[in-house]
Amino acid sequence: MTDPYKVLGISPQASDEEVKTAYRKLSQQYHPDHHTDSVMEEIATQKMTEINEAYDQIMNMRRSGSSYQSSGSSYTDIRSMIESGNYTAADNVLEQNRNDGNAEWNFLKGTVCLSRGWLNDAYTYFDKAVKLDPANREYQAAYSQMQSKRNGQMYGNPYNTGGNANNTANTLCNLCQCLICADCLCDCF
Amino acid sequence: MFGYIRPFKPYMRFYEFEIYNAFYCGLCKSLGKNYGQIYRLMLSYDFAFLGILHNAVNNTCNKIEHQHCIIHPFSKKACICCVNNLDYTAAAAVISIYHKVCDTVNDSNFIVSAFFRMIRSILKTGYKKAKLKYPDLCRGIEFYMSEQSRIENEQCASIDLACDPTAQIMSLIAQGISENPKDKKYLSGLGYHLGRFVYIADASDDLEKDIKNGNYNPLFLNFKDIKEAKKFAENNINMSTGMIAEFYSKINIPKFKEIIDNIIYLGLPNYKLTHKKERKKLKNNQIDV
Repeated sequence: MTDPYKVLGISPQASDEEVKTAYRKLSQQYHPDHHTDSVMEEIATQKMTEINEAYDQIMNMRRSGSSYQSSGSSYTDIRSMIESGNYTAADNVLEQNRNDGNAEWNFLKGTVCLSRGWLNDAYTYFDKAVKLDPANREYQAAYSQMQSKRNGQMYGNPYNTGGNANNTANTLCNLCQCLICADCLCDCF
Repeated sequence: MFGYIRPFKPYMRFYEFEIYNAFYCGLCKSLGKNYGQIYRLMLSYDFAFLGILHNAVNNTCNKIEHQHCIIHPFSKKACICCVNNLDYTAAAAVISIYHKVCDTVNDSNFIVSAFFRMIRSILKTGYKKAKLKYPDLCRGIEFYMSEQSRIENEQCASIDLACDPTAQIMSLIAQGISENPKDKKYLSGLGYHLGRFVYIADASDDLEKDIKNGNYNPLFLNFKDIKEAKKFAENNINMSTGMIAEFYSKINIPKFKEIIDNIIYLGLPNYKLTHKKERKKLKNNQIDV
């Protein structure tokens, strides 16, 4: 893998603020929306992914600081356990190294809960992971997925006409309430 | 199983509704024929959904016949007559109904308990038959029923743990629908969240009653304010319906897709309009047009 500092064009001694500035500058430059040409857009998207990955990696390394070296490897192990579907083992390791002040720990615990269907716990852990580390896109994605479900989004809904979901839902709901009341009157079987 | 999984009628086509009802009738007849008449009185609409899902996933061939029925003695009703396709659903219904009655026997006061004890003794023959046919399913449900009462006795405050046994039961029932391992996996997830949905919806409906009677309700243990508890339940129900949709979209449904779409995408989120008990609450209020 390429050196994340090289991708962002900074030295490893750069301060957190410098890393953020470099990231912002590059991401604005390569944002796919700025490139209308399809070939350029593709290159820009690819570059964007690289920049994001590099940024996440640097931030992860810096946040966990020295503890990264010692406990970082065990989190990688847990990740691979989760990926191979071994949730019970992953949960055991997580419980043994309980560390709910750590964003990664909360995220992994949330993933295990999600796989078991314990959605409320999963939501709480993802929420905490995002609060501890707002810049991490992986945590953010997991959290916003839960959030959209909480607000009543259903994947693949054929009745969803788009537009303002809340408004549409309200109008639909009102309409349906009227219909169902009318239906109660004539439906005598 | 409390009758929360129902279609949303205003958005249903007539023929779809006819098919849906035919499944309910077919299931009812199948129960009467194989497991005893008394089960027919206790059949909930949840199992009609399960029956349709079973036939949809396995793409079975069904015939609708117009038959007489005890409840409707003078008019013939459309009815799915190939009862073989509904056998699994009927057995699952028998097992669930029996355990629900057992649960009522244990939880109620003396008089109600005595009444349900009598019913249970009538139900027993049918249950034994279902147990012979599907011993693994029975054992699984028995285990999770005991888990359920353990959790209730412990006054467990975690909503996820509280609905786990009900969800596991539904998951067991749903994964028995298909032989295909890939579908089994998704059906198991779908069932889990259906069970979770049913449990939380029921807990939310019974909240006022449970507070008054001092019964166990995980929502009340978390929030002392009814409004907050209802909001919390609503959020959790939404998360479960979201998961249901996600699993459902991965299952190949060659048949009856529109009916199942209706139940999942409209019936579940609007359960307050489709469920009888909830609808009564609405009727007393005026609705803004």
